[in-house]
Amino acid sequence: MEIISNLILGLGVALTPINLLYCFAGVLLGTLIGVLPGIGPVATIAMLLPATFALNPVTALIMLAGIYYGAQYGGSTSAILVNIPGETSSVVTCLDGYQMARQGRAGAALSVAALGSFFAGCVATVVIAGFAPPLAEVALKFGPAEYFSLMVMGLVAAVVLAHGSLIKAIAMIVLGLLLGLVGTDVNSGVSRFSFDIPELSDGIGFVIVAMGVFGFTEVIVNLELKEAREVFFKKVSGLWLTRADVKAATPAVLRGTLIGSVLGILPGGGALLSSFAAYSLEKKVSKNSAKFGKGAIEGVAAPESANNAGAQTSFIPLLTLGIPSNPVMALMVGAMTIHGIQPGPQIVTNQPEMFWGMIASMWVGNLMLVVLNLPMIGLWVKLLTVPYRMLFPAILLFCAIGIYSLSNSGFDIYLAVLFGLLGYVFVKLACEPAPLLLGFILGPMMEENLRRAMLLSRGDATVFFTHPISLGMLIAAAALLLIVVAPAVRKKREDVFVE
Amino acid sequence: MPHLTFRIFLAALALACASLPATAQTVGPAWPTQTIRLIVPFTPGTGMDTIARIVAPKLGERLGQAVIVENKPGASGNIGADAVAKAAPDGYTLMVGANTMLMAASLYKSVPFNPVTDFAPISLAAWGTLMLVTNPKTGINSVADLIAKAKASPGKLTYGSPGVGTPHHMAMELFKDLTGTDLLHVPYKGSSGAVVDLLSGSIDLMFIPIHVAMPYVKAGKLKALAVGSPKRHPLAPDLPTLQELGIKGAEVDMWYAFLAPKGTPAPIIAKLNTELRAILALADVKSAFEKQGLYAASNSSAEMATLMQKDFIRWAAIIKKNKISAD
Repeated sequence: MEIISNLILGLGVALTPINLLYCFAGVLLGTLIGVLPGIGPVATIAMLLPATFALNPVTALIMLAGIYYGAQYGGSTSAILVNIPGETSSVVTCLDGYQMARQGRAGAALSVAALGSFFAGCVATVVIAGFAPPLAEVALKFGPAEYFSLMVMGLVAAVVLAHGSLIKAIAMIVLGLLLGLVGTDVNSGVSRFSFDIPELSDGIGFVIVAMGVFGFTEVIVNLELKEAREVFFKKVSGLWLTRADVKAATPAVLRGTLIGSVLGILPGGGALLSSFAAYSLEKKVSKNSAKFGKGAIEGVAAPESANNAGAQTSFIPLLTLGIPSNPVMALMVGAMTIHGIQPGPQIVTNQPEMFWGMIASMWVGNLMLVVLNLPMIGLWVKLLTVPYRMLFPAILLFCAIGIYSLSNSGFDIYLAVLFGLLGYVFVKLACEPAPLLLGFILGPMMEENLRRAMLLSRGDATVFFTHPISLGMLIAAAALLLIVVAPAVRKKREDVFVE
Repeated sequence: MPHLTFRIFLAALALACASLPATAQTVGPAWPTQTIRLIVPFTPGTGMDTIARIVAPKLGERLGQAVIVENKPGASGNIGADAVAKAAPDGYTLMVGANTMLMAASLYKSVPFNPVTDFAPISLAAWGTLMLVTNPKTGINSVADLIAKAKASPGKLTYGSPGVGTPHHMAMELFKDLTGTDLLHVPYKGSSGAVVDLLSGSIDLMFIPIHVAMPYVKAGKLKALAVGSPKRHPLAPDLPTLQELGIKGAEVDMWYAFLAPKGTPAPIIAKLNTELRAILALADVKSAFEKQGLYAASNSSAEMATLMQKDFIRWAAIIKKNKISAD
């Protein structure tokens, strides 16, 4: 059993006192920056990079990886408690997690997020250990045509995300697509919708939109409904999961883990999609899909498992192909090269200690995170009893610091405030911001891949149907669309979603 | 008379306060008296950022003041560069720039600064080498092969780049121009997507930094054709340069440099130049740069100014001739 001996080699590296210490430091720091809205792993890792010069490369990478998946854990905390997604993955967690908190079930939401993430992390570690090299080949099968079809599927699934009017959901997706188009066009280099403002020429940052329409809007709405807010924190009950919770959450965790592990492998936004995909699937298959968006525990369990699994398997393209799938991975490449390791196809054979040591440390780090996070849940929930008049300035301040730290630009904060006001308008119009964000993420990627596929096929649109993977996904998207618009289902949908 | 002494003391204090800023402005050796900001107009983790983060602590030590690296990314580096161009020329705002700045000036219709006249060059920081690679499935084994294939079916071969106006893109445009070939440009957002598609064979060729390319070349996943530097590279000593292959003028190196806003006092520039040259000659700095595929180098501020002027004219001509635009 080669894999066992490899894992033993890895554990030998990961369990040395110094590596354990740095792993702990990484996950602790990661949790903290994850909890603080806006201050993400990218800025933290960038700042810590030079500090790792003196360390052994494996130790440095173990710590930096710890910051990354620690932040995934921490990110769910602020999403659940104060409805602020610090990262893409936490957007979906806001939907039901925050509703659970409003019903006094913040403890249960945090528990299921931590346990679901732990389970997903363990499974994903095994996936990396067992299948990393063959899975890397799958990533190479995804060309522009395949990505385009994947995005089409994602957009159709976005409709499922909303609970409310179908028309409004589609309108929000389209608005998201339009916002995503702001900035320099990849193919021609022409600026679109940027009104000669240089800060807009690279497009609007995801965190800015998310903080605006979720975080800032939430604060405005809460200040408006002052009394209602005081009530829902009086009855904080049940820090732990009930038997019914476990029963409902378990299949959701399993499905979320599977989706996250698969999508995480795709470089270029796969991991990003996983939490959205997991939520959409769960809402479709769940018996009580009516409860989604109103505090369904499955709605927390599935995306949280998916994003953690995806975060972990997104190391596969990095470790086997040397391809960073997101900005954090790009920094990991930087960390490796600083230590003289050039990520690429030979890393598994040339640096087995580093490869397996990192994989083993992920499992160790996940265990540490669960131990670290479960006792802290009581503490976090206590935070909710802080009077809102003291809590909201702190929330706004941390959001502002976080947004500023993205690119040291005050313009970004004003932009987030603008999105906060826009979000308030959406609340008044009863429009959901989640489909907007998905459209915002998917739109530019879809356009980019569509045009690249057409460029490579010299304008031949059949390329989307002749590539088998692409065709498969388009068929799946069509089937999904049929389910959504089919009269019988639509009738049921209206019954369920009218509020 | 305590009352009087107090008055004299007050008067002396007022005088001292009044004269303080004046002395600080005129006396050169007093610099630096506060933290120095080193602006990087790109995101953390990029080559430019690494240069800044390796050099900043050493420069701070030598000057006796902290040197803080500040990332100001956006608009292909134009936002950060513009902030530096408009900063007070007091020696407390510096930046790491690259030859992309000069390309951007001709690419974008409305660049709010002039890359040659708005900056006071301090010194060169490093050179980076681009390598011309292809996917082995194309069956192209040499630059001569490539030119022959490209001429046989114009526009059929495709090449990737991390975006319009990047050195990778400009290098290939220069190659096309000098060899009279027609290759289809497929731009990406950043290099990782482009490298994946190059590995899978969706695109045929690309210029990539040599340290990034080497692991794939060694694993047989990519085929190296030539390097774009004037001299052969120690990482691939057997690989010819484009010049050697008879493509005259095909120097597509990337350079990085330290710059200050125009009008920064000459004594400050001179002091920075001395300290930076000493830092860039350190063995540990050289080796840290090498791991990033960069070759540490320095020059005088006059030499740097000449290099910037020369490249500005050269790339402007290529951009104009090939009708490349980014705005």
